[in-house]
Amino acid sequence: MLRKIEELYDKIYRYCFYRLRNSASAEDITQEAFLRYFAQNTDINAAYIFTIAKNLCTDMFRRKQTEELSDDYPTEDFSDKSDTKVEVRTALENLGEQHREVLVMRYIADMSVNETAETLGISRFAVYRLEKAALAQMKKLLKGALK
Amino acid sequence: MNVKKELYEAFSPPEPKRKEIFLNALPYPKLSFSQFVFSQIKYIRKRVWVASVLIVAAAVFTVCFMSLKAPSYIGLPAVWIISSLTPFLAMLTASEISRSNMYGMTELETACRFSLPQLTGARTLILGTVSFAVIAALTLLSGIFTPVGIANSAIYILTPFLLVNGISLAIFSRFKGKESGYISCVSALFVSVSGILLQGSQMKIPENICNNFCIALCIFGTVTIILTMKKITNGANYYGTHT
Amino acid sequence: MELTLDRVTKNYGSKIACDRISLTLTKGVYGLLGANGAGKTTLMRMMCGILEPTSGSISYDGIDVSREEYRDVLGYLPQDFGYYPEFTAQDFMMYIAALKGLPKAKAKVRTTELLELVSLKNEAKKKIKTFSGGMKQRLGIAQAMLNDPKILVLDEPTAGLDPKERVRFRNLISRMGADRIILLSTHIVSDIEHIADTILVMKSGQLIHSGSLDEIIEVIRGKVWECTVPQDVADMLTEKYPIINTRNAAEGVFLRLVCDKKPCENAVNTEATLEDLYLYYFSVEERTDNK
Repeated sequence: MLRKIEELYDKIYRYCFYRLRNSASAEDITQEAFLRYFAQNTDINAAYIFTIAKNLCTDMFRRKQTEELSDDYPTEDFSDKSDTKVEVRTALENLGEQHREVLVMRYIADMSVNETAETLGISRFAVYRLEKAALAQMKKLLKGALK
Repeated sequence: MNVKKELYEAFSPPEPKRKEIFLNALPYPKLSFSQFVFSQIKYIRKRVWVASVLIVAAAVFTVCFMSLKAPSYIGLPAVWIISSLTPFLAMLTASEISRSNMYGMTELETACRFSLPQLTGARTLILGTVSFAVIAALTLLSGIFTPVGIANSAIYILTPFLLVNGISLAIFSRFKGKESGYISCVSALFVSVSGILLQGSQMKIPENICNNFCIALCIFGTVTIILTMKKITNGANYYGTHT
Repeated sequence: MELTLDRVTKNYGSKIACDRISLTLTKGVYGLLGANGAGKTTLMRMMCGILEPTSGSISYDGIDVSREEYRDVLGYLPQDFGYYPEFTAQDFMMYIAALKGLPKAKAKVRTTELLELVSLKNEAKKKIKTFSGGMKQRLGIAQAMLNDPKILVLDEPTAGLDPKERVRFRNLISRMGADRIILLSTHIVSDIEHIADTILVMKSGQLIHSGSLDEIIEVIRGKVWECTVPQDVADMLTEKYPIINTRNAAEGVFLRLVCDKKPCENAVNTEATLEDLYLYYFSVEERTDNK
């Protein structure tokens, strides 16, 4: 059970890092999500904790938009600037929101289909569908970009 | 290209720095009450399980033996013998419930999240279930295999059980240490033996008077149990009354 | 992080064990100093939800003492505690861990950590009945820390520890006091001197003084004298002033006492210690009792 929590920590951290692009903030939010969840619950519900983290990221993002972008919020946590990676990131940004969300959760945060479905509030089938469509879209975009 | 792999790597963060510390310090997830109750099963001493099995076995043996060898005793004598077994179970369950007081753990336990009242509740749930199963088994045995019937069997079997439970709980809540064990044992024996002796003279007492007397004793036992349990589970002042 | 006591009172019939005690505790180590029967244990028991106050309230960050959430952040070491007979140190820790709501995996980790912290790692599988007083005390401290409590209440934690263990204990407490509220009661004045940031002096159920070591000693600063005098002078001084220490010396009777001004010719002013204050407070009590 402790290992499950450890894995969940990693997943949520990866997700938050994608959203916030800053490792320190990502860890802060991850920890905050855990603390908030466990203040009210005794079992482990991955989707619930994910949802808390998701909302916290949104809140933090909104706050950062209205403030000046401060020094501790750099975008150069992406140390690797190789071409492929840049293209992949750009392609992802060009997907529709739901498609992007599914790919982020499934492949960046490494969540299971169930966890993804519960967090997004959609069915497993919908997750499969969106995933497939998003992947196809990505392949198309990348083929074009890398020519 | 493997889009999945590329995505995973394109957005890979640096290793989380504070994970170990956070997870070690994280006090969650905590036990729920039902998980807590289950966790207490292993702290119930084995003698309770052994006694339960032995008592049911003894009851089965009595009924079988008497059906075969002494059919004239099948009836009230059989039931009284069966019911005289229950005081020992009662004494053991009472002593388990009172363990905290017996061994001076009440203070420590009261200050815990699952405090003494909840601990006692957990023990009572577990032991109550076991006792119920044993009593039910005994009642069915005597109800079905003797002409006494289920209703009367229930009364005759419950009486010494409730009585000894009440007395033992009261003894354990007043005295600490080994003496309470001995006193309780003696009282269990007393009830057990007097049950058997009474049975000998029971033939001359009309049934309904006997039943009413037993029911009265049951009520007395139950009331004693309830009062003592209230005293034990009133965690906040339990220690105060003993200072 | 605030533990608030508001006019907490405990009566036993006509006897007042605690009289309208009001306190606010924050992070740090608090030493509760008082004679036997001063009400220290009663107060601590109330702070742990074991005894219900006759009146007044106790709460931590708004959570009342009677609630489960309060006990969840509490760790308590009573003056005396028992144990189930066949328990080993490890069994004991795991048992208490369950009562504190720790799941089994976490309980195992904490048990190992804490037994190591109190140097009982090698005795983990030994039965408690083979333990010395000091070992049992260390086990008690370990169990109090299982749930990483925000409030740690220790009643006479150094009783039964030898001097070396006492030093080790002091270091432990100092480290732990950084982000916790620790309240410990003791007769051993030197313990309080060394580890408490704030000292609370309790007498006859009342909190008569609270503050840092310096502030507390202020009461008798400059008033502690030492002198050696003939027996009759000694007798006279003993009648008039609180005597902290006395012994027979070759030249007469040696006295250490508290007095507003110089009590006799050859008296020498000496630096006041907490021990002096303790004896001053509690021998005054005896003197007023004897009058």
